[in-house]
Amino acid sequence: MHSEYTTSLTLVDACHTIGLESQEVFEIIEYGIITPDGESPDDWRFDVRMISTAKRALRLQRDLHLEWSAVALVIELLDEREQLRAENAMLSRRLERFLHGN
Amino acid sequence: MDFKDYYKILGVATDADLKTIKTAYRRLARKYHPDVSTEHDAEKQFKDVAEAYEVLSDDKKRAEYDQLRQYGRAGQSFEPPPGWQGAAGSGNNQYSNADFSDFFENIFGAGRFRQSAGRGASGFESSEDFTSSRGRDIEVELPLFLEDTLSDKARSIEYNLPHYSDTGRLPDIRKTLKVKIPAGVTDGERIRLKGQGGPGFGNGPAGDLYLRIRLVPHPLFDVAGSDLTITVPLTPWEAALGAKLNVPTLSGRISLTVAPNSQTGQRLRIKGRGLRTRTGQGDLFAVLKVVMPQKSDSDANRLWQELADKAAFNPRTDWEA
Repeated sequence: MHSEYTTSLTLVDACHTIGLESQEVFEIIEYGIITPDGESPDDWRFDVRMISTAKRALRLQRDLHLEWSAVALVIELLDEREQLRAENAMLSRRLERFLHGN
Repeated sequence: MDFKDYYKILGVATDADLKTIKTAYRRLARKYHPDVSTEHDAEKQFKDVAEAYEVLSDDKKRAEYDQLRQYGRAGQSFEPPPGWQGAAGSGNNQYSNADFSDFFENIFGAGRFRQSAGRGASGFESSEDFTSSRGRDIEVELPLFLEDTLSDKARSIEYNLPHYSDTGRLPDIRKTLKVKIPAGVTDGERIRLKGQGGPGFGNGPAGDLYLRIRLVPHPLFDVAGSDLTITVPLTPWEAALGAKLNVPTLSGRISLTVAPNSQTGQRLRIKGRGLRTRTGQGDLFAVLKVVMPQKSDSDANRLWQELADKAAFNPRTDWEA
């Protein structure tokens, strides 16, 4: 059974997985794009969600030619949009179910 | 393979300058980038746009492409002239998920798969360093029933793994993997399986496999975070007099007591019968809904009329002047 799903990565592993050098990872942390657990870079732990966010940030930076500051805002807005959409969909479904049955 | 008209894809003239091409690219990238776009075929469109920009923004590649253009037409089948050698190469490609079309690969791509896609795992500055780079990450959607998240589950998953030889890309391998899904996973959560992604190049490590959990809608329950909601239809007399009901939950039936004079829309909390979380358990909310019988007979109508005459109740006091 391949149940070696890792729950958190060190800085070195995170760099490899995301595809950024440590200096750039410091930068995206500085912009608040991700916030790893831990006091110092040696203690930092990145969970899967942070890795996904960081990868998404890199895609946006490269493909849309954006500065990290813009990327941070875009990601924030995208997250909010996704949340609102999900909430909307859930409430619609619930209302539909409530009014008209399954 | 089909010929790709990169100028048409970007919507620019064949003599467009770099600035025009950049502007066109940026506009279309914003429109179709899968992370941002709401267009339905965003991913495919973005790939075309990115590829077109990759070629037209690079002097060498553009020159070669312009030469080839005279031999082909968009939408038509295309073969490069015999003996064609792509001199420009595809080195220094900028894209984060370099996955170019057959057309591109054939013109620019000989040996390309050996080059790292952008900056690779070991943090090279230049993608000319193609001795080794990390394989591609793969994401696979894993649908689960709500019931599946109540306990750890073993699952067998199948996905396509890219396959390369020394000379180029081979057809994908269909790979099967047994995984253990922990209890309490949420919709949209990703599980990372290290090293199960695309093979590395040279001495580079394999990429990772990400399983993206998708909770399948349940016929009875609505999900809100870790809580569930179920609509409980009641007869008017059950709402009036109260009732004891057998309500389904994810893990079997439970007894629910409805108090007399309950209202439609009232939410009754059933603690601990929601979805499992990493730390505990969410709740189930039973939402009451009074339902009228569709048909009535004269006996029933007589009783309703008696009630109407005797019960002094006006639900529309808000409407009085």
